[in-house]
Formats: sequence, C-alpha cells, structure tokens
Amino acid sequence: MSDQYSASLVSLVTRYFDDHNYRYEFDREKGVLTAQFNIENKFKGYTQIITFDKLTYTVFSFLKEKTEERWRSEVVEFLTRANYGLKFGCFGMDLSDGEIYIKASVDCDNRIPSTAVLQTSLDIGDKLLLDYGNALWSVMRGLASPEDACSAAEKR
Amino acid sequence: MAKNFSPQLMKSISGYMDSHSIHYTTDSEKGLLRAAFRLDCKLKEYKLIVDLYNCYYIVYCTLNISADEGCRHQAAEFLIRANRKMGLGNFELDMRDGEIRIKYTVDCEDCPPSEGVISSSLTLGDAYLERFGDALLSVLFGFATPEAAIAACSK
Repeated sequence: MSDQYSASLVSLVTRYFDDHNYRYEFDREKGVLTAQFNIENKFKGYTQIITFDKLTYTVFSFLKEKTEERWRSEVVEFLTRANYGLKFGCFGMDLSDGEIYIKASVDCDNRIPSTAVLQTSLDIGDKLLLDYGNALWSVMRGLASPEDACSAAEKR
Repeated sequence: MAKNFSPQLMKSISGYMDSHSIHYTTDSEKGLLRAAFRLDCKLKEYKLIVDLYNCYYIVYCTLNISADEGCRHQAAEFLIRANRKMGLGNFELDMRDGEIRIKYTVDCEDCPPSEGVISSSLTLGDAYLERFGDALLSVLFGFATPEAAIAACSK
C-alpha cells in the first residue's frame, strides 16, 4: 500500500460505500476510489473519483460527456456563474478536452471526519448536477445562453 | 434579524486570530469576522471575511481589484484554469460586477475544526494569491492570454 495517503480515511470512505451497497474500485497504488452513479437528468450518470492524501481527500464527480470546443467559452461562463455563491464544492472544466467536473475537498488534519461531513462531501456532485445539470446540458449544445440557463437553474 | 451561527466556531476562529496577532473585527449580528492582509505580489492586499453558520464556515478572500466588463470572460477562463490546480477552495468571479474572490468552506458538522484546519482555511488565500496573483493581473490588464498566464504560473 502506498504511504502517500491516509489508510484511516480510505477505510472510512470504503466502509461508507459498503454500508450503502455502492459498487466501487479502489486502486491501492494510487489511492484512488472510482464509482459510477446514475442521475435523473439529461446526463443520466457521472463518475465519482475520490483521491486521498495524508490529511485530505477530494471528491470529483466527472460528467461522461465532454464539451465541444465551439461551446467551451459559453460553458466557462456558465460554470463561473454557477460557482459564484455556492456554499459547498465548485464546478470546473479541463479546457484542453472539455471535461467537466464538480470538486469538493475536505481537510481532515489527522482527524477522522464525522459521518455528516463525509456524506455532504460525497453528495455534492449529485446535488449540484440535479440543480444545474439540465441547464448546463443546454449550454453545452448552444440551446441557451449561460446567463439565462444559470438564472433559470437558480430559480427552480 | 440576527443570523443563527455557532458562537463556539466564532470563539475558535477569533482565538486563532488572537494567538497569531491578526487584527480583525467581528460582527456578531451577521456572524462575520473581517481582516485585511498584505501580499508579496502586485495585488498588494486582500480582504478576508469569515462567514459563520451553525455547522460550517466559509472563508472569502476578496481582491481589491475587479474584472472590467471588457476582460471578464478572459478572467473567467483564467480562474477556471487556476481552479484545476487548486486543492482546497476555488476562485469565484461575480459576472455582474467583476468581483473576484477565493472561497473555501469548512464543514464542521459533528466535527469541530482543529487548529490545523482553521490555520489552513485562513492562510490558503495568501498562498493562492501569491501563486496566481501576478498572472491574474496580467490577464485583467490584457497583457497575457488566460492560457499563457496559467502556463507562466506553473513555471
């Protein structure tokens, strides 16, 4: 096992997944947990990847669909508008290939996070994709302006 | 109406600031702590606001400079690129008025923050602004593209 991450944090997260009957894979060398989740919106599902450090863990929720190059500027604006004022987590995009993700990091500082903290961090991707997913989907196809789409998502 | 927030969180964070001789003000109606910090980069300084709630607190580091309308999209692209390189927290840009800030939320539900967690939350703005600040300015003034400015940060 790698000594680059906290075994206690991994154990906490995998136990949570086991308790909820979530299927996952864990790469012991890299300290990376991967799982697939379905979601009831236009995107249908996402890939959750959790990376572990010695004192922190980060939950990424990656969309399976990437942004075409011609719509990336609009998607940047949409994600910027969506990020402003979020309490937990943030949207991000890899501008080299259009991949979109949601990220939430937790600093544990050698302590084990509570179940409530763990659950919030694991649920952020789902929550933000339910809140903003369909609006984002429209912007990724040029069907709505970033401003209108974000505003509509936040009024729901 | 007064905001509902945890007095214990206020005490922990103000205690940390006291022990590090950080000058700050508190607003006990709104559950806010405010401070100002100097930076070793062209941005010179930023304002820190800790927004307290019952089970979490949010640290905002707000710049004294905002993105003009003419460069707001370039600023947004730069910040999306910068966010990919950040561990804790992220940059935010208000597209309405160009305000730029770093945001970091500490979830404390059933888990009071350690001194290390408080320390990280209050100092990450400093680290990120010293890393990305000059490059951000070069984008805001139209001296570099977002892509080139981020590449310069990595070097």
